[in-house]
Amino acid sequence: MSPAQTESQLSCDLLLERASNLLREALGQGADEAQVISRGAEETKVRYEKNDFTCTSTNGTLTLSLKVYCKGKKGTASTNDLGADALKDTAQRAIALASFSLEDEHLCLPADGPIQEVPGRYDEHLANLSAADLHELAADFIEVAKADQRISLDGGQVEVTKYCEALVNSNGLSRTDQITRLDWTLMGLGKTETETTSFDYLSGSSWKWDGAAALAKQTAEKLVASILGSFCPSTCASYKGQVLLSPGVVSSLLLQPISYHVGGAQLMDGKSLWEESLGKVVASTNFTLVDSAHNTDLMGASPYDSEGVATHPITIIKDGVLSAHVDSTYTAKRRGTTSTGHAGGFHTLEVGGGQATKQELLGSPERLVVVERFSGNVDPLTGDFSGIAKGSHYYEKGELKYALSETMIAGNFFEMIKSIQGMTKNPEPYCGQYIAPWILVDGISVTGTEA
Amino acid sequence: MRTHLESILANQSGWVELRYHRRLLNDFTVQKGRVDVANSSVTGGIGVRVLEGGSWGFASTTDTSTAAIEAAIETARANAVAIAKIQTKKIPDLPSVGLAKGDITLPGYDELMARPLEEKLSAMVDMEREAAKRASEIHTARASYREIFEDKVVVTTDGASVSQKLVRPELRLVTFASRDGEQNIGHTSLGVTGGWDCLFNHHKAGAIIEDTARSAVDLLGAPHLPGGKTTVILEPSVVGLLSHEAIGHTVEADFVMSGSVAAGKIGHRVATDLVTLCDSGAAEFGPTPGGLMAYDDEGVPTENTVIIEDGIFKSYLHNRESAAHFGVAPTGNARAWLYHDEPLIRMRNTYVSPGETSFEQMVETTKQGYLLVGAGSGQADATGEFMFGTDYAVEIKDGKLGQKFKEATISGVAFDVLGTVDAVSSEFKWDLGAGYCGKWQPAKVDAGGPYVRCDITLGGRQ
Repeated sequence: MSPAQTESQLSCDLLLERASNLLREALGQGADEAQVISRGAEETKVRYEKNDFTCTSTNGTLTLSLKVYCKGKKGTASTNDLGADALKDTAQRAIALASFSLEDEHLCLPADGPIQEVPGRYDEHLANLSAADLHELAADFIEVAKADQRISLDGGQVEVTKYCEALVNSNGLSRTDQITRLDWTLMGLGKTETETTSFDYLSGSSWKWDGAAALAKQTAEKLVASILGSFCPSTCASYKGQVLLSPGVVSSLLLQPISYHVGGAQLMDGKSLWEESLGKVVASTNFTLVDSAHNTDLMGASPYDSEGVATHPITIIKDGVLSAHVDSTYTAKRRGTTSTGHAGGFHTLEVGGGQATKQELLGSPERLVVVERFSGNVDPLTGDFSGIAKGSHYYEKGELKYALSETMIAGNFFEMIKSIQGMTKNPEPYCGQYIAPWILVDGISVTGTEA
Repeated sequence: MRTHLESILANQSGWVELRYHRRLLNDFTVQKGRVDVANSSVTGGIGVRVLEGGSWGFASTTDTSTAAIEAAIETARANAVAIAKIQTKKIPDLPSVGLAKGDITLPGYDELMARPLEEKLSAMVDMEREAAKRASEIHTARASYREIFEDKVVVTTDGASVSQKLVRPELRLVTFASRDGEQNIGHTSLGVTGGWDCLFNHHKAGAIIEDTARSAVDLLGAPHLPGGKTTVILEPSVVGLLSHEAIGHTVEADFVMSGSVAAGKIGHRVATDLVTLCDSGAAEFGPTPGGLMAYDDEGVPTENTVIIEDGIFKSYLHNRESAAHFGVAPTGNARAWLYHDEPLIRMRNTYVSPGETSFEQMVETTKQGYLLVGAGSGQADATGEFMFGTDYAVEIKDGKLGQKFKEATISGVAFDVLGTVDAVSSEFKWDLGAGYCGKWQPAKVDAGGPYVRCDITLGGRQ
């Protein structure tokens, strides 16, 4: 991967051996149950800063993370030192912590079981990518973004990584997984002699080399278009009404609170407002949300969760009705249910599309703020949110009036998710993390600095 | 380790930096009478940076043997050669500067290392139990303690040779209250650079249980703020957040070179003359802030950098490279999160200097406005436009504090807001010591100041 790097030493077999050694050490020192995750990565990163390439770096990391249960009490420890003494010390630290922890009758580890492979996440070419290829892609990527002289790039990064992982536990569960990924990020702003725009950023990822350059180019083009559209901003008059949310904003204002309120950790502690809502309407009837788990269009696709339990597609909300809560092994035991393979969170969340084109959604309201990016705070517990509409635009009867600055939006998630007026037909991926359509919602407070 | 690294560099040509970093992080979280987290993690290794032919190259290794470090140096050299092919401008030679030598251990490190972990967890068990029973509306409490022990050695071929040990403990308490189907959160966090007693002597530690419980319960049923531009008094944590997010990031020299709004502002008036704003590696005006350090990760001694003095813009924040670009001395702001991260320009402890008015006088002389309490998360823009959340607002009417409002997110343009400052109090508090700053990699920082009165936009309801 780097010019001076020797052949890769990283392999799932190596990690499995190290993980098994630490598991034996922990059980030998007196742990009743134990789990070890061994993760390794080899990465090469090209960094761009202050409008120039600044550094190439090469890192190799390997971490062993141990969880032990002793007499119903839990302790965890980790190390990146692979020496025999360090393994012994890691086991001692975890067991010592467990010795003075509090007893919890619900502590448990999952049993082994079948998993479904998720192919398409490892690319031999990417695993052995030459430095020349990486630098060429980075140079082309930046060139697209810099094609317009008004664009100033504060930072950017192109990074290729090979990951391997092994997970074992004292119930006989044993997993290995390896992936490759290429990630690119750009952060920039528009600058002329008289004006500096808001900064904007965009990122993208790919599991494989083929097609990655074209995807990276699309990211750069999208960012440039967004920045150039931010010149000459103004602020609109305050109002309460409709706003159009981009897929990125949908993730901040809708998906994050949903993740909170359907999660087993919140449900078991009485912190979810959807504890009694299974089978009930919680959203507009046109809203459907699925964790497809294995969709390799998104970078969270995985065959198992962070404790080795198999993942599978699960519908969270169907036509506005709450269909599922999600659990880890521990939260499931506390709640008297079974794990859904969500230790560590969701995998690949997808919001279903609607009936409209974006142009139709833009055209319907008298006045409309199109929120491209949300810079603000969302309280997942209460659902209240408030923040700046960044890189956003103001429309009247479908006509673009101006880019926005100093304009804030505020509202409540629980009200907003029931006020969906329309969604675009074709959901879009956002930064490799979610797939969502543009969503038109009502009842949002828009505060400009003009009266 | 320092001697070991020096001996390796003795055989190297050109500019090479070796940075050893071992971190021990202990973490406890207690919630609803159970221990959710009891964790101890160790991460260590050596970051290697070279400046070869005007280009940076970086590599890292977890193996501290001479052979492994020399191999990492060769990888870093090869990386520098590779990036040179697509780089347009050469990095200038680094400025000659008095680089640090010797060994330093900041106060609290040995004391906290010796204190049993069992005692620390036990304190969290007690705190969670007490908080949970403080009010009938509280259904869940969560108490967390974290300590980060940092052992660092920086050795360079141009003379830095220093080791530094420090520890940063943090404390967090969260309460969840509900009444008639409505839920609310109260939270308090604090952090210092120092030992156990230092943490519990923090001005927020004494009443942490009472304050956290009360803030969750008091806001049940509280109305939302109306949106719009208004006069506000910012409490010290909010002033710290404003200093860090809205000003501090725009004056980081790498950001300035990319075109931030602070470019070209040196010597210009950017605030009323009541405003002096600084970033320091030391403890100014108050003890043991969370971003304390004697040297940065390039081996440059830290200093108190005056960014704005009496309203006039004075300085950016620099590492050695940006200092060379601007022809000034580095300010000791180069920081790396872990051994495998490259040092970047980061803040340390950012603050507004205290003034002469008392908080009571500020309230008494405010006809209509809000006191904004408790710093939430925030972001700022290249334009100086910022946004951040605060825990709640207290209405001020005719010089008296009144009703509480929930969900107070504020925004403005940094230098415009500083131009409206008409009162700065004499009280001073460090108040963001549990905070982390994000800029490609995390950094432990602190921020604070006095109470400040200014005009700002509230992102409330219409």
